[in-house]
Amino acid sequence: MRRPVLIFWLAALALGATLYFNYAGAGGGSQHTIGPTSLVGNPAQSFQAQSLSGATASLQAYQGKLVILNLWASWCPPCRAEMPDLQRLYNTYKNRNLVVVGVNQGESIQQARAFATALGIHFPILVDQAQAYGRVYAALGMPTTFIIRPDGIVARGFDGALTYDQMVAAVRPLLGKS
Amino acid sequence: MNVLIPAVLCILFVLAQFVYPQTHWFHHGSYAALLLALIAIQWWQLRRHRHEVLAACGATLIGIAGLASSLFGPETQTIVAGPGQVVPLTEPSGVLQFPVSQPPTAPVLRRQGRSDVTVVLGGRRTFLANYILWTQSRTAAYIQAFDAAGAHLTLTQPQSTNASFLSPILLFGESKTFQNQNLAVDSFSLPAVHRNINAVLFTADAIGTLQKISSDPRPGILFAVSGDRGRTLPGGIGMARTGDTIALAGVRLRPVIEDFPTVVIASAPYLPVTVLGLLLFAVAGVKNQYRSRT
Repeated sequence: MRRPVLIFWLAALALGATLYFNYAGAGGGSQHTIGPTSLVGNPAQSFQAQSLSGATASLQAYQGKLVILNLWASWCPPCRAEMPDLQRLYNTYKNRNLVVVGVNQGESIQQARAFATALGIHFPILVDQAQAYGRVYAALGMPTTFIIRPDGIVARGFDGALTYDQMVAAVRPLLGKS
Repeated sequence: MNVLIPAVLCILFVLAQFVYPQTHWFHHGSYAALLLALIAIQWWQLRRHRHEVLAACGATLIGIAGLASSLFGPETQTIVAGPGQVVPLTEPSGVLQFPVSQPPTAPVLRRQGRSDVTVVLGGRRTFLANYILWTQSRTAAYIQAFDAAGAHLTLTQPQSTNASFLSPILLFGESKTFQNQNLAVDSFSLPAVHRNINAVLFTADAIGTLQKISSDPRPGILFAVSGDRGRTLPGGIGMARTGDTIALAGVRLRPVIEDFPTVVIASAPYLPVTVLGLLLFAVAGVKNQYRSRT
């Protein structure tokens, strides 16, 4: 009876190994989420866009800083409402290695410049006519905001407009690390 | 019947999962029952053919790997996403990153704590433990939109299930029948000018049906522009060939139609166990050959 028992245990071991290696990792990795939060923990991607002066610019220029990446458009009322708070956040924390980068989605430089002038926006603005940032950063709507650590990893993602208090609460824990 | 016939059949049915991974039947109960039956027959036949035990072990290992893939492996899934998009996956675990470059480069599966896996373009299969990945070509369209003054307009896709909200790339995930033709459709919005636009893709083959209108063989998109109330606007229907610009209902649209890779993921028997089983079966064959000579 020794051989059949041995064979039985060999088969059981093979089955166990198959099940373990097949399905031990299933669901243990990244959660199947959509939207901005699905990018948390991943490297932030950077694409060529244009500054308000027409020069080529990208997110990569701000590596090493705590970046508040905000996707917006001039036709978006919540974006317009949120902008002054973003400017205030930038004014308050820019000396602590924080930068707010507004990325206009799909409009012309003239439209973006007029919008920024009208609202008194002085933080860097990229004009992303190809909407590369929008499609890659999994926006579900606008505005969409990401916090990117100095090491280039996405720390937080937010769908919708944030108040100033919400912005401060989100960046404060990360400011000490920047 | 000796042991070898059910053993070989079991091996062949499992190896078929590698050759035809998209076959839906491999996840059906009848397939699992067949594998179980073949394994059971092998072991029943061992009563009279004990010298075949090594071959039975090898075939059983392969059968178990095939059973696990059949019963617990996910159904074949096709991941459709636009250039640059990152799609989180649970099976296999990781994020699938689609290329931004034109022409497209290979999509990459990035896994936490493990090496990245490049899914080779051109349909060649990539084996990953208990999954097989490969690419298929799919037609997509990059849309640029301008207002009457020529200013660039933001394009959104509020109802798309594949592309992201802010993607200007139509993936044509749905289809409709028009005059006995199955055509791919998609939609998008231009919120700055309150326009909603339906798009119907006419590939080069479908364009052939329109030869009475034009001899231009380039693929094109038929646009229908409507306002906030959902009604098609006057002058709001027209077709633009790839690379051309068309003016419709106060907006100008320019599609660029290109092929883009999608990723197909199918479950497969766990490769190391399958290989071990094949080795055991081969050793059994060599052993039997040696015995028959002596």
